[in-house]
Amino acid sequence: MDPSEVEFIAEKEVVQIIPNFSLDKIYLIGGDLGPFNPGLPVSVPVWLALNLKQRQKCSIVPPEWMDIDKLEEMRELERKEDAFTPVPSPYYMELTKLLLNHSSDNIPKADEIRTLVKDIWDTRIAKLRLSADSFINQQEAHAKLDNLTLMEINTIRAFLLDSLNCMYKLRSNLQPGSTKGQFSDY
Amino acid sequence: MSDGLSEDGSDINQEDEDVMTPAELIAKLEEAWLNEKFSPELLENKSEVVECVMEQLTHMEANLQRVKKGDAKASIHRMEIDRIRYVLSSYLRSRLQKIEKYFPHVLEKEKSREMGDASLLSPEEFAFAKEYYANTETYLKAMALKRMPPNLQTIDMLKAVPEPCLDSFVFLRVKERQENILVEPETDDQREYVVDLEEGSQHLMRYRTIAPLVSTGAVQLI
Amino acid sequence: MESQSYLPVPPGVGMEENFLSLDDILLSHERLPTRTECTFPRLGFLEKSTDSPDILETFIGRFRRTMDSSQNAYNEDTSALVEKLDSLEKALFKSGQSGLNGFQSWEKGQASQLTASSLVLNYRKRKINDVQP
Repeated sequence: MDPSEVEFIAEKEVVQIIPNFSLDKIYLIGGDLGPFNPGLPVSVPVWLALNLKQRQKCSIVPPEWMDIDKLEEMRELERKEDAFTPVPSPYYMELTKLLLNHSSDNIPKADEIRTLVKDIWDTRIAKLRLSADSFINQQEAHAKLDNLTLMEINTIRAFLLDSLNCMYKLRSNLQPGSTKGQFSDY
Repeated sequence: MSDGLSEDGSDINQEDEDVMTPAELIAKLEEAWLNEKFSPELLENKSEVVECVMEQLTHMEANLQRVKKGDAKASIHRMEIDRIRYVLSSYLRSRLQKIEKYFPHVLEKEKSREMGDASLLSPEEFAFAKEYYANTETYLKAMALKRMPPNLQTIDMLKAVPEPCLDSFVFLRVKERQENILVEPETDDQREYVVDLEEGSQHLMRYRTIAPLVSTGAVQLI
Repeated sequence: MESQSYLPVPPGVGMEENFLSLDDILLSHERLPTRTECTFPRLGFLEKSTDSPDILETFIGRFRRTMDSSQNAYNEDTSALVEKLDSLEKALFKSGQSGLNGFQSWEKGQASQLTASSLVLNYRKRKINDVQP
């Protein structure tokens, strides 16, 4: 899957905005939004929040977890624990990138947040590689992957699945040249 | 603009007892999209979902026709339509890609289907698969086979085109708790064992093991 | 680059089509299930009971290195890293790199752009050449 598709899915997450315009309730196919009143916070999907922000029609309220103290705590925990710790949002990486790139003026200490989230990401990816290696080493048939996010899975997906398929071929000694089982997503 | 959606929501999915809201319908489409993207084989077609989504889109677009240019709401509606359309075409495209990749097997499976079983392909996809098969055969004959020695002029498509590998691993999230899922051993000195799949948990395992759970919607491929 | 076991077949001249040429197959107006392959280690001659478990063990033993080298190489010249891998590992190195590169270009905000492949551009040139006497 292309990372931009993962981002596309993340854009369905809901954030709060403070609009500077008024508009009645909108009945979208995916659900109702609004009404919008100047200065009154309202929940909208990220794709709409970013669009309104780009047109200077709102400010975006950063999610609660996008806060230096909370993220520092999370980073320490992530470094201390061997297992993957629960993340504040299944799209923490995508939301950080989207909101910091398009709405950094609404987010206090944006640069520090970016670094903290990247640190958390790096720690988790290192763990992911460690677990992938042990999964391959032990020749496991099943792994529990709680707390892993789609973006994290996605960075290792093709490599890990192709490796597992290679092992399957080596083990079952399939005819060489067969492309059976090569990973591709559609 | 006027929104006809609230009164429209009730006539979708008539086959089902329970009424699906448009939001639930979109969620169904997104589920089907990801499942199709990540499953090694072609899944059952979701024609009803596709048709209902198309209906919703057509309906919404018809409403938008009547709206003045520059209407603030209309631009938001258009953005939503574009997003839904992306998912819809990506879903249909991944199905076509799999049909192209596995066409003899897809057609074979469709042929051996029992009366009353759900069809793998939509009528349009079935026509596409048949035509694709015929074109490939014709092309192979014209370009290569007729120049071969007589004993090499036939080709068994089922053998020539690789089958989907159901032993591939997949990532999945559990939507409905499952007990006693059998995990087969990878090597001779391992034993088989069973796992319980808790709701909301995520796993990496062979597609073959959980394929039936994908089609019932108990697990979601991720 | 890995060494190629077969010489690529050049496209046909002018309006001619060479059915063994990858360029011509790809440019064909009919959609065909073509697949291009890299060499898979020829294991056909190995007895399953004797040699293949060793290969599997070797693969497993080298896995961490294959993974780390493919997932840590940030837009560097990877030829030195790839040199020591066998062809199967090279294929894996490639999928590891594509995962890493995909994520990195997303992170840097380089939106994926659709561009015409060199094949299509060359095809246009060929068409023009065909028309010219």
